[in-house]
Amino acid sequence: MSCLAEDRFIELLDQGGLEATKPGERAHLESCEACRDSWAGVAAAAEVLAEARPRSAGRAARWIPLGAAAAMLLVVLGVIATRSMPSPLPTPKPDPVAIFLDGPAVERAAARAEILKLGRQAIPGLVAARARFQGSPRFKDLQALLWDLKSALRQDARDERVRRTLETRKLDLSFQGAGAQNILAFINDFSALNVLLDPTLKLGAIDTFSAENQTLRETLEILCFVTGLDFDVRNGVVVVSTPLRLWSTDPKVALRTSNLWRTQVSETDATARKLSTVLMTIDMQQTPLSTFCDFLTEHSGVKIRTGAALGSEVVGVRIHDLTLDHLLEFVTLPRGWDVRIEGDELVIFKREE
Amino acid sequence: MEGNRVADGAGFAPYLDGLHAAARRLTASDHEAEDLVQDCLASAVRGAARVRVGVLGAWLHQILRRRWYDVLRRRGLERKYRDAERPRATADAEAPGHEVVRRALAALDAESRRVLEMRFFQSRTSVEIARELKRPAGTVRSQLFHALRKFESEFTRLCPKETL
Repeated sequence: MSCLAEDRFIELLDQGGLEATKPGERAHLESCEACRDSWAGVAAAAEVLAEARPRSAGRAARWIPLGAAAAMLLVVLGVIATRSMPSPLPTPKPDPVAIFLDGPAVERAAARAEILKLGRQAIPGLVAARARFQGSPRFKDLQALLWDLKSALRQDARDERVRRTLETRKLDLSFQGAGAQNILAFINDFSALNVLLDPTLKLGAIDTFSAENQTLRETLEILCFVTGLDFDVRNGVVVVSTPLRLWSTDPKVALRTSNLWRTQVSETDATARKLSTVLMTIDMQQTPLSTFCDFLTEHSGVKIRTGAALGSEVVGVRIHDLTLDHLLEFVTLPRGWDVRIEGDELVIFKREE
Repeated sequence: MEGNRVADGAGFAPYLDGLHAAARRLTASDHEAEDLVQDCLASAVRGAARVRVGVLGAWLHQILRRRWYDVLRRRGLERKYRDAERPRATADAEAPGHEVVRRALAALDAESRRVLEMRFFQSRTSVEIARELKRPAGTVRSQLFHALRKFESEFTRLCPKETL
């Protein structure tokens, strides 16, 4: 194989790094010093730039008392981050997001209305700006706007119910040295909502995380803020992942929303009907994928098996009363797997197969 | 089994010569190169569970380069503290590193700066940038590649190289 093209290095960065390489590219990278050096330079520079984005999540994550409420968060750090990293663009073009975030009070209401019209495309910029406004009175406004934008994306009845629960249910919690996944598991148990963390993420521990009489929504917002993540409600499930995976419009990067089998049969097909009506409750950790498939087959009556390349994979999932079609989507799609119909059975396979 | 070899660091052996050579090129010092490779391997062992066997060499070189940037920035920070009468709060600790990033960006042409800011400060992918700038995605990716290389060169030029 010849050397990797310049734009391929950037494509790999977009897709999450070396994990996205194809077998031929991997072999070439192992043998070609020039390509390895190009990759090392580009990827390390990208890390430096991503880290230099005005945010201080790493430091903020060390101690976050939710009881003090979002508006009181780390005022000093917010000011320093803003001052020490001015925008490198000499004259940023004014847009509604910029006016809402930085403009005079009189113009902000109109800018907010305009952003709501922009919908999903406004979300990444607003999420990225969270850190700049920590400690500022605008932090809460920013989170409220994000919530409204997300709520306007879908009007599914299940999602509405989940959103209502997130807004009304309050909780107290206190964790020391726990991972975000442990905190989310607690929220999962407490709220009886399905809360799923993107299984591809590896998150460190948070020194101290406490909440007193906070809504689930506020708790999730702060947890996501300090871990650099974001959340959305999809198919009745609270999905927590990176902002890029949740909101990118680039199909190579964004979390996919549906399995391949949906394009193979109509909604009225017997298998499709079964998949969308059978409710599953499951709590499995570090379970071989084949065992997971056997369990689903046994409880749903739909034959499900793994493709050859996934024989040694393990999965962990904790969910209750979720339809089988969405369960399969949440288990397979974030991991780069998919589900297709072959004859009378469903097969879970790696998308690159 | 291969995964275990990576996780305990034993799988790194075939890459050590290449890492040492790259470290010597970066540091221009045998002693510093040795330290840098050690630092790189220590980080790699901590993150080894996440790496896929088959891209190990490229991944190790990425870490090596990253650790070198950290060394350069740490020196800038130490020098600032040494020069200052009284160190400021730890919250300010990243400022010198960010200052170098800002200056490295400012040294680039406006177009390179623009695509880098869109990609890394606004979390947009190359496809999204291309859509917004109404350019082919390949062109934007090529721009990003060259902008990153220019940034890297400016960044390392601006970081203080001398040992304290």
